Amino acid sequence: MPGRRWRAAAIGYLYLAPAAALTAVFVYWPLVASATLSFYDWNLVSPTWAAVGFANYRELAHNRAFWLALVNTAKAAAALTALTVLVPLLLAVAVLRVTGWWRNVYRVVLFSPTVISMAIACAVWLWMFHPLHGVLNTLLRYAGIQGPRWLSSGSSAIWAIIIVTVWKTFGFNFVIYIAGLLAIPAEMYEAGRVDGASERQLFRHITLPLLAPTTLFVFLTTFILSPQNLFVPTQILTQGGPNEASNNLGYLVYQLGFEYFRVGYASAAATVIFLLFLGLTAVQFYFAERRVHYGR
Amino acid sequence: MAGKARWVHALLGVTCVAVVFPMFWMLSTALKPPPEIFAGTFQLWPAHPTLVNFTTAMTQVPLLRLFWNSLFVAVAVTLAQAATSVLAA
Repeated sequence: MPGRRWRAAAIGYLYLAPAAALTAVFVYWPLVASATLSFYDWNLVSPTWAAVGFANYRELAHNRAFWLALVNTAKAAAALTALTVLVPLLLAVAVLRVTGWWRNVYRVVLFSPTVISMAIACAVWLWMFHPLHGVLNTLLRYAGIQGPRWLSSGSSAIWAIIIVTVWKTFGFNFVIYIAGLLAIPAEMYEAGRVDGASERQLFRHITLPLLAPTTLFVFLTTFILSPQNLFVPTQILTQGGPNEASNNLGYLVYQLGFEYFRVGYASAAATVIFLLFLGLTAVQFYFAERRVHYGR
Repeated sequence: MAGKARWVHALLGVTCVAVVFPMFWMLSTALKPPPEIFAGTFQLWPAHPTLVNFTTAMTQVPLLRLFWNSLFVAVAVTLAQAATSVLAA
């Protein structure tokens, strides 16, 4: 029956074709094009590209803004991953301890920022961060504290962006954790209680191990999405300023390409970032696969 | 057990207030007349609520057109993603 098997495979590929073709055209082709472009000097309008070899990469290695952006992105990715993995887990465990309609109230309220568009969330926070009229500094003034100049001070701007991003994105992970927690069979806890396990032991030896696949998913998606989630807040709140202090890799690529019109240079930065995150994700998968127990 | 439940409610209650506050503040500021917005004092709810900001927004930018564009993009993206993903899966 080789003919029938071939037919089944062909039909399978046919079903796959629309998604695969679109992915190839809009994901893989740009990846290749961008990698190629990184060896050229191009200003977005000139009809010719000038080949420059590795000059873009060499210049990048000596660019202060690039290293600052790299440090900031690492800082933000670490903070975002820590806060939007641990806090939602804590909240999900807490919410499931509540019974009755209060549970639904908490769930709806905690998920609500996720529904708002990032641009609108940033506009609201932009106003709240205002050093004189903003509500944050007004409240701090009542408490006798001189509030920071949130967005115009080099040390606090990146943290302001992180606060907004956490506020806007933690609800998604919270919902995924609730689903993960509800999927743990109740018999497991009963068996544990019969054996005389304490609440802490139940959490440590039943909840955490059985939740590991959920945690892996949340951890990886949060980490991979963190530079992308930073773009809109950076654009609206600080434009990478003051003096590059809140810049990050995604925004730097945009600046190089579409503000300075150095597309080849921007492509070199994009290629470096792509390889960096590809490598980090591969490392995470390698370690996670050995630790996570999928229950099969 | 009751003491424990109270702690859970306290934790969730405080978190919820912090999470909702920016959205509440958006609504409160939208209803404030401009002098109250710039007063520099903390005012939870406008002393003289007004809809004047909404009229300004509706007349000075093509808000309905922007709404329509957002809706159109959202629906188109959802349909296209569902169509390609269903076939692929």
